[in-house]
Amino acid sequence: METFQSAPRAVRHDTRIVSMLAAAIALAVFLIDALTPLDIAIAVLYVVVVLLIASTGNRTATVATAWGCVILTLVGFILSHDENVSGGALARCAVSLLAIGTTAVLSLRIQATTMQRKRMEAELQRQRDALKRSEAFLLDAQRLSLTGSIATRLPAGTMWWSDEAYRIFDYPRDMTPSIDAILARSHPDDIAIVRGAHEAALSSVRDIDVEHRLLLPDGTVKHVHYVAHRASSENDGGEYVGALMDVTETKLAQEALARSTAELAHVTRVTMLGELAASIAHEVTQPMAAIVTSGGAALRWLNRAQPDIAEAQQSIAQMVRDAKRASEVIARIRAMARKRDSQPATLEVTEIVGETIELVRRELARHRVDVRADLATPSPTVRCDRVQLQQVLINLMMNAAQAMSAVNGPRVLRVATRESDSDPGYAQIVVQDSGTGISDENARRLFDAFFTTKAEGMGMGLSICRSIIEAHGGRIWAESPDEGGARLLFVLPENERRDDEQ
Amino acid sequence: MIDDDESVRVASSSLLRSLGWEVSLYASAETFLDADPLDGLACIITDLNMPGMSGLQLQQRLHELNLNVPVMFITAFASDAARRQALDGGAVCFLSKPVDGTAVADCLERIRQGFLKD
Repeated sequence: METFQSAPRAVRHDTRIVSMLAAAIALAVFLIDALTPLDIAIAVLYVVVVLLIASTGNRTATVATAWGCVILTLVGFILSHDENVSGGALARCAVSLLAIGTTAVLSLRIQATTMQRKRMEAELQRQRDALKRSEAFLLDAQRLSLTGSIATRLPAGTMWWSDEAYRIFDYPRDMTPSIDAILARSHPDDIAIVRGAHEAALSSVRDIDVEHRLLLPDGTVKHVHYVAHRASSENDGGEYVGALMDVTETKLAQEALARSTAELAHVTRVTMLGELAASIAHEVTQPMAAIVTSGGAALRWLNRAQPDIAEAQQSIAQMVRDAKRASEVIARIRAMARKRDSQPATLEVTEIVGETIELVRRELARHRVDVRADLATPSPTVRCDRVQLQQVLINLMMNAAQAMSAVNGPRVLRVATRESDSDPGYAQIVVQDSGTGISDENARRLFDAFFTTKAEGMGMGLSICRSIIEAHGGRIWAESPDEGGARLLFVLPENERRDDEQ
Repeated sequence: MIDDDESVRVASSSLLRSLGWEVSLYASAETFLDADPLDGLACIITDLNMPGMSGLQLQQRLHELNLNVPVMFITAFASDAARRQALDGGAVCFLSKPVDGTAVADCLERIRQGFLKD
């Protein structure tokens, strides 16, 4: 750049000297040609003048100089010869003129070529600058977005990494990139994923999209997302061009959010269990009471003068059944109260809904609520965490029961499971009450955290329900049916559909 | 014998039969009242808290019907007020679940002796 900018001044400076030199030579040649009787073609030396001027690159000056030299040659010829011109002198003059002419033409042609070359060089430089700028933009963008580029030539496996890719892998810039280098940085548990992606590339799969972890020498774990596609379709292999994104921050934020949601779900679940305590206690004491009574009965049947073994056996069998029933209730409560991460399983919606109704049946009875279940068979299956789904259902049913506590008319809770009409491929669960309903104003904020219409409510129930449903790929909403009351609905993607997609 | 819980009904039935009584089981106060032979009963054993009509409401209803059958309450959770109301209403016994076979036997024995005195 430096030399390019200072060039014009140097050229101008040179031009003056060269022009002066050319003028001096022209004068000298003219004087010798015109005034000395040398029998040589001294005028041929005018080509030096033409060449000097041509060297400045000025086309017009070159043409003018050539004509000038021709005139000077002719003037010199006339001055140094009288009417008796020898054939030799004439020939010499002709040679000189020819030389000047030829030199001028050639010089002009060279000049034209040079100009063109210069223009091309300038254009090339401009393109080079533009390329450099876009490269700088790209590097900045890569750095800011934590995205590196990886190009892989197959089948040789030759790789090219961008600066950011080196940074993500934490390798020095002079390291030769290779799949082995990537494997060396991959988390031991995720090596199979990386290898799998590489093998997929070797077998010419068109698109590659994997997420895995890196384990750096300093113990740092990074989460990366690699997306690549085949850039060419040659038979001898091809090239994969891909982007490697460092998604650690996003991943950690997601995990933290999931943890908070799980914690909150747990807290609200425990709170909910607290509200159900009386019903739960009853669920457990009933079979316990039955066991004690059956035990007393069995003893009496055996202690008779004529022991009645058959009756005693029946009582004992009843005791076993009741003990099982009690421990099942406790197991269900324990599952609800346990603090745990989401464990999605394939669940039959109808089965879970039925089970949940059983869990809260007593509480609903306490509120004098009549439950009407309309459960689809065969049941739609969903992929969901059992406890969390139960939590949502209990929450909706308890809300419904509470909404009806001020109603003097019939308190009817309708629970239905079915295939969703509005969302094909989704299972729909409906919980509808005949309570006071939801005002339009409240409907908008129903699922917001800390929004509650209950005096002692915390406003987390429905907000947690929404988090749970959305975490499982579904959605939840409320409707106000014409017949009054409130209708809460949610949909979850059906399991079969997901299998088809994979 | 009236209780909304099937296990409790079955267990109580066995105990009462082992004590030598004949037993009829009902899942609610309403079904009991709808049943035909309300006379000829030695005792009504009922739960206190049930969906629909409660044990105390049943006791009230029996008074209204002038049925002076001895009533025994067996319940899991009872407030003192409920206990007092039941006993003031003429209940023979007020037992808490889980009930001891002996307690039921004693109570029933008292009823039997009351019959014999009559």
